[in-house]
Amino acid sequence: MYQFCYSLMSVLVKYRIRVLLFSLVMVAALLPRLGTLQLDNSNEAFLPESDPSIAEMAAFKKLFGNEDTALLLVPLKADKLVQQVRQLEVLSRAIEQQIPYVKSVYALHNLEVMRGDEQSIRVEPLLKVAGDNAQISQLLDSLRQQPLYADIFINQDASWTGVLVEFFPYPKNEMDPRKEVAPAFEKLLAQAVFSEMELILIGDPIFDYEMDQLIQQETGLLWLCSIVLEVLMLWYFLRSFRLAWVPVVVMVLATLTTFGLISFFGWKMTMLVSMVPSLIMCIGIADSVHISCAYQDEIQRGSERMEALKVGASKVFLPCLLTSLTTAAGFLAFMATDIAPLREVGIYSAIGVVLALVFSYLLVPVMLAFGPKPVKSGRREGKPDLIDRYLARLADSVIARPLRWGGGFFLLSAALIAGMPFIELDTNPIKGISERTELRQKADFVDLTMGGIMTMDVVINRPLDKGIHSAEFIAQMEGFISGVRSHSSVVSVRSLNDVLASAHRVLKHKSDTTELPDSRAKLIDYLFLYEMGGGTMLDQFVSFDSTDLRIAIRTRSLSTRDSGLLVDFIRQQADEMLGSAVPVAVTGPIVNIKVTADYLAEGQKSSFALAFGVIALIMMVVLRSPVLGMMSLLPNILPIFVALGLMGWAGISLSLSIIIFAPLVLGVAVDDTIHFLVRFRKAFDVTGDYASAIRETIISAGRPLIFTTFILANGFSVLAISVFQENVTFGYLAGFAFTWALLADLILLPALLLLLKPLKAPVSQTPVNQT
Amino acid sequence: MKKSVFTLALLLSTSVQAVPTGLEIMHLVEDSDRSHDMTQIMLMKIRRGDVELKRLMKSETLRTAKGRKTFMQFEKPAEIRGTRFLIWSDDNPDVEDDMWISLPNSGLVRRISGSGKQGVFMRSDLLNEDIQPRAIEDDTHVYLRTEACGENECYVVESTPVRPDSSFYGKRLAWVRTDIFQADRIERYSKQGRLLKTSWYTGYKNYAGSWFASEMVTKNALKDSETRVSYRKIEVNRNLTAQAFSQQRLK
Repeated sequence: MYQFCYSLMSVLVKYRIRVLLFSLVMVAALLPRLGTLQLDNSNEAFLPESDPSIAEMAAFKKLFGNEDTALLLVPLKADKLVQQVRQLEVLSRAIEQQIPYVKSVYALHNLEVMRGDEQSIRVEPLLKVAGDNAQISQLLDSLRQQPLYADIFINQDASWTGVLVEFFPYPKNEMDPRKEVAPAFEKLLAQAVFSEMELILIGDPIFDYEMDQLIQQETGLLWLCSIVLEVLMLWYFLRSFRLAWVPVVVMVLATLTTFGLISFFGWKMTMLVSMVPSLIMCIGIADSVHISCAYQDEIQRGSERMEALKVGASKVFLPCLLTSLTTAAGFLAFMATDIAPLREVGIYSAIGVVLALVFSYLLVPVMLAFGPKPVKSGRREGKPDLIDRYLARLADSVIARPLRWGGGFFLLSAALIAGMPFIELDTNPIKGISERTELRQKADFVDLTMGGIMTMDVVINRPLDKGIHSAEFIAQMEGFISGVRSHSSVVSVRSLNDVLASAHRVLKHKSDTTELPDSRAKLIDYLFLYEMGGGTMLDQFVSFDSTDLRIAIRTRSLSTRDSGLLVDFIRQQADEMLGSAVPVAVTGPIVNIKVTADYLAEGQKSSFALAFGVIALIMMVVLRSPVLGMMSLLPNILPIFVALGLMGWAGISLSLSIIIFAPLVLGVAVDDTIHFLVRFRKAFDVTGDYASAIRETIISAGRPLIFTTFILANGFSVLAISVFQENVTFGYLAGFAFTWALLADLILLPALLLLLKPLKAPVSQTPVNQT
Repeated sequence: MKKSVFTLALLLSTSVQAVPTGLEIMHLVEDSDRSHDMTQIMLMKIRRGDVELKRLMKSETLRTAKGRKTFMQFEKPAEIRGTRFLIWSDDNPDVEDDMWISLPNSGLVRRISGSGKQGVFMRSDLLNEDIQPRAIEDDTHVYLRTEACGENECYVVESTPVRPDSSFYGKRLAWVRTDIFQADRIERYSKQGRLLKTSWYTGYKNYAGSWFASEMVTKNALKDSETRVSYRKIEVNRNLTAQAFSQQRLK
C-alpha cells in the first residue's frame, strides 16, 4: 500500500502543473451544472414510494384535483373601503394577465353571492348594492358569518381581506412550472401601484418557492462560514497560512465537483441537502490536514521537500483511506431507509467524502510542491506545549487507575443515556423555522389573523348504491363536522354541508339559518340549484361520481405529534357519528410529515444497524483482531446514546434532521478511533507492553485527535446560524457527540485496553514497518 | 327582412372581397341558422379518467326578434328527472339573460338572475357560459386566416370579449367552415393565452335549410376529461310558439 502510494505521489508531484490544470478543468466543466440543480421540497418527496399515504394522496388528487391556490392579504381601512375595492379590481386584472397558470381571481369586487326572495334568486356581486364605506362594511360583516367565505375573503375582526387566486393544473411537459408563480408575483407586486397596498402573499406555491430560496441562501451561507472558520482554525493550529488555505481550497473543489455530479446525474436536492456542503467541508478536510501534518513532520525530520511530500502522504494513506471508507459507510447506511431524500443525502455525502479523499491526494501534495521554499509550520519544535503536558498527565493517570477512569466515564455516560426514554419524536415544520425569516413571520401572521396556516382533508367514502344523496347521511355528517370543529386545534371546517346550508338560506330567504335539507328530494334540488346558479365549489367537496365527500379543515400550526392526536380524534368522531364501517381517509401536508417522521425513526434504526455492521467489519479487518474491532466501536456508540440522552433530559424533540444523527456520528467519530488504534497497534507490536503503548499513543495521537475534533465540532457549529431549528440542534448535538467520542478515545478506550488486554504480546519485537 | 338584406349584402361583398372580416363571418354563422324553432334530445356523456356520467335532456329553442328562448328538461340521471329550466337570452349584450328553474322535488320555481356563467354545467367540461348563446356583440372578432380543416376549408376567427369580466376565457378561436358557415372546432383559451379546451363539431346535417351538428366533443387540455354531446331527434320549424317558453310551463 505504502509503495503504491509512494509511486503515485512521485508521478503526481513530477507532473504537478498538468495535474493541477487537469483538476481545475474538470471542476470548471462541472461548474455550469450547478445552475441547473433542482430543489424538491414537496412533502411527497419525503415519503417512500410504497407508502399508502402516496396512494391516498394520489386518490385524493384524482377525486378532487390538485389545483394550487394563492392568497393575497390586504389590510382593510374603514374610511377607504370604496377606494380599496377599486384597487382590488385593478390588482385582480393584473394577476389574471401577468401571473402564469391563473384560472380565476376572486376578491371583494367580483365575489358573487346568491340572494333570494319568494320569487327569485339573484346571483350577483357581493358589493353590487354597496355605495359607500359604511355599506361595504356592513356587507363584510355578513360575509364573516359564512363558513365558505370567512377567513378567506374576510377575517374575524374584518381588518383583512383576501384575494383568492386559483390555478389550473400545471402542464406536465414543462419543467417545474409551479416555481414560475412566486417570481411572477414578486415582479407584479414590486410595481408602484401595488407596493403601496401592503400586501402579504401566501399559499402553497409561494411557501414552496420561499422555502427553496431559504435553503439555497442557507446552503451557500453555511458553506461560506464553514470555509472561513476552517481557514481560521487551521491557521491557528498550523501557524502557516498556506497549510490553512490549501486544504480548504481542495475541499471547495471537492464540494463543487460533488454538486456538479449531483446535477449531472439529474438528481434533485431537498431541505436535508443544505447541510451536505458543510458536512463535506468539516469531515473531508481531515484527509488534507493529515497529509499536511505528515508532510510537516517529514520536513522537521530533515527530509527534502519533494521527498517529504511523497513520504508524508504515503504514511497516512492507509488511515485516510480507512477513515474515508468508514465515514462513507456511515453515510451509505442511509440507503437502508425508505426515505428517498435521506438516501440521497447519504449518497451525496458518501460521494463527497470519497471525492475529498481523491482531491486531497491529487492536489494537496501538488499544491504544497510549488514555491521556492518548503512550507513550514510555526509550531515550536522540541518543547511540549500545554496540550502535550495535559495529554501526558492524562495518560499516566488512566494507566495508573484504569478501572476508576473507565468506570467513571461509563457511569457518567450511563447517567446521561438514562434520559433517552424522555425523547419525543416531534417536528413542527412552521415553528422549526426561525422567526427572523419572512416565511415564518407570514405563517405566524396567517395563523393568528386569517384562521390557521395548515390544512387537512378528510375524505368520506359512500358506496355507489348509497351515494351522498341522503338527508340522513348529511345529518350524520353535520354531527361529525361539529365534533371535528370542537377540537381546540381546528379553526375552520368547510364541506358540502355549507353549500347545502347556503342554498337553503337562499331558497327559504332566511339569512341566519344553518338548516340543512330534510329529505333526499330537497337535497338533490339544492345541489342542482347551486350548480345552475353558477356555484363553483361542488368539485371541491364532492367527487365526480358522487361517492366521496371531502371535508376541508384548517388548523393552526401543528407539530407532528399534535397532528397525530388530531387525526386520532377525527377518526374517533367518524366512528361515533358515521359508524366504524364508513371508510374515512385523513390526508394533508402535516399528516404526511408525521408519516415521514415515523419512517425516519424506523429508518434510523436500520441505518444505524447497517453502519454498525459495516464499520465493525472494517475495524476487525483493519485491526486484525475481532475483539479489538468490536471494542473499538464502544467509544463511538456511547457518544451517540449520550447525545440522545442529553436530548431527553433537555426536552429536545427528535425531529426530521436529527433522526439522521446516529449513523452519521458513528461514521465520522470512528475516524479518531482508527487513528488511535492503528498507532496503538504499531506501538504494541514494537513494545508488547500495554502501558507504554497506550502512553505513547495518547501523547502522539492525542494531539491530532484533539485538533481534528476541534475542527469538526466547530465546523458543525456553523449550523447554529441556520434558520432551521433542526439544523441548529443538529450542529450542537453533533459537536457534543464528537467531543464525547474524543474523550471516550482518550479515556475509555485506553482503560478498556488496559483492563481487557485483547492483544497477545508479540513473539519477537521487531521495528515496525512504516507501511 | 332587415337581417336578410344585411346577409345578402355580406354574401355579395364576400364574393368581391374574397375574404370577409371576422365580424362578417360571425354574422354569416348566425344567419346560416334560418330555423324559427328547433327541438332535440341531447345525450351528454362526461368521462373523467375511467368514470363516466350520463345526462339526457330534451331541449327546445325558439328564435325571437330579441334573441332566443330555450327550454330544457332533464330525463337522466334519475334523481333530477323532471327538472326543467328556461332561458331567455337577449342579443343585446347590455341586457342580462333571464333563467327560471323548476325544482320538482321541492315544488318550487325560481327565477335566477345575474351571472353564474362561470359555473360548471352538470359536472361536465362545459361552463354554463359555453351552453348559453353568446351575442356577436359580446366579442370583437378578427379574421386570422383561411386553412384546411379536415376535408373542408375553414375561416379561422379570433373572438375576444369586449368586457374581459364578461367571460371566463381570454379568447376563442373558431374554425368556421366556408361551405356551411358552421363551426368545425372551437378552441377556448385562458386569460394568459393557454389552451383550456377544444370542442369539435361533427356530423352536420341539413334541416330545412339550416345545418346542425349531430355531435360535439369537448376535450379538456389540462386534464384527462372529455364531454361528448350527441344531438338526436333534431326537428326544425315545428311552429313552436312563445307560449311554450313561458314560466307557466315550469309549474
